[in-house]
Amino acid sequence: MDAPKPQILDRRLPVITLLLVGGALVIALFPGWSSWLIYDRPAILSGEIWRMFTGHWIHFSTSHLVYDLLALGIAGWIIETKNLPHFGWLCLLAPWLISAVLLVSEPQMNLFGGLSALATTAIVYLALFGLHDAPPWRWVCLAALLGIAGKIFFEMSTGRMIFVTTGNVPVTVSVAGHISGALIALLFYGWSKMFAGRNRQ
Amino acid sequence: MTKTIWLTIGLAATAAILVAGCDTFSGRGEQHRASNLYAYLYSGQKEHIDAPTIPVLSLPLRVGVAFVPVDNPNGRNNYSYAEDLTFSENQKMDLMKQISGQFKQYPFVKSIELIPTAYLTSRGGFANLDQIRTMYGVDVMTLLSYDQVQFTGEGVLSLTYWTIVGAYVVPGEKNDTKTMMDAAVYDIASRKLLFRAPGIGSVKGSATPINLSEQLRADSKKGFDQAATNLVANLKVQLEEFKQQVTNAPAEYKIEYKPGYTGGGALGGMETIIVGGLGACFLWTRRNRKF
Repeated sequence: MDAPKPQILDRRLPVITLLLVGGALVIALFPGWSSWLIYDRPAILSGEIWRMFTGHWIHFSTSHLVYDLLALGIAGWIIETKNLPHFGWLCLLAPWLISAVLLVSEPQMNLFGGLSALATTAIVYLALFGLHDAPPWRWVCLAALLGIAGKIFFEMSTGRMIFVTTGNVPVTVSVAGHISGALIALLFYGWSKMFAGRNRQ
Repeated sequence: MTKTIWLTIGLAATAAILVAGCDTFSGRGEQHRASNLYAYLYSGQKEHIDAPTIPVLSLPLRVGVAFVPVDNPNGRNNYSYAEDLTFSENQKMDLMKQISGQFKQYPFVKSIELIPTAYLTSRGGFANLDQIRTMYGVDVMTLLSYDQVQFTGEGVLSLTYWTIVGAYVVPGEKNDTKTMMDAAVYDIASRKLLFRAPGIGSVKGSATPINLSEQLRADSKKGFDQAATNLVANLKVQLEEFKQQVTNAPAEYKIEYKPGYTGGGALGGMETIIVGGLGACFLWTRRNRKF
């Protein structure tokens, strides 16, 4: 593990995070758009591939929206304030990759919605970088990683019966979405470290 | 002559007493109304043994709720017999609605169908349930049965109720009303009993010979109401236990999702704590310039 080094905190507005959160809020204000934007497997397979990206911004209820935005908003704000690399690319590519994983791993799932998988990606990405920082931030990040890993393990072992009702829609918890989100964060973290190593050379 | 007259009067009196006695004791001093689950499911199979199969629960479940018809050895529903003014179809429907309310609280239940008793054949068994399954598209069936006895005679009396898991013996006293209700939840495809919940009602007898029939009718209704309330409370507990059991015993239940289900995330308490902790620590370290 690298030695702890000081980081420059960015006092600019967390633009990417604001765009992510604002987008979800705007879509929530216009529910009529949902039918055109939601992850809809048959529609995606018939060519409406934008749904692979936009589907993550559709939420089934207010509580679904609030929890997702809270998690993504805080994680995104810290990432941008700490000026962690490639967050924009992460937010641009992760939704496509998560949807691709869902298309392959969950063929029976017709509809998917929510920013939870992207929020998981952001939390894991932030926590992985935090392992290089000084305590107590390092320990908090380690605890966050263990917490996310524990939650995913819990979902995998008991996910057979994890059903939530968001609004009046019975929703099956998509464990694959959370796993793929965490793995994409790991992939981007590795790529960032490799990229930074090459630049140093 | 006088002797003959007295002999005739004596014989007539004895005959009258015997006739009256037959009438009084023909019902063993009790009023009894019941629909029997065991008779409905297994009357045609005295040597019935359930094959040990693992139920495949296709989530979210579609649940049917119905009252078992009153047992009729002819195998047909005799509506003149089945129609009970004390426990009317309206009361049954109210209870079924309460039960469906319990199921609706769980997101793994997609829909609930309230099925009129007329669609169930007396002694119909699983063949009848298969028909219901096709007709209503239900996966799981909640079969409700009841047994009520009102003891109008003297002596040591009891109500014995046969359930799938054994007999209940409830002691009773004169003019008492004892009611037993039972909800058995079956996976129709595997014929497996998923869980059951009982409901018991007991009304102490307060009737006098003058208002006996009126009071017994009121007690009967009260007994059904009590048993129904008790049943709904027990069902709630059993449903929660069933949910835990399915989660904790993957070898006993196979879970699959119905094609076309909707997926989503389940961020909640855990993630709120994680991001809350990250945010708080970040603010604290920033203020104290630790990095």
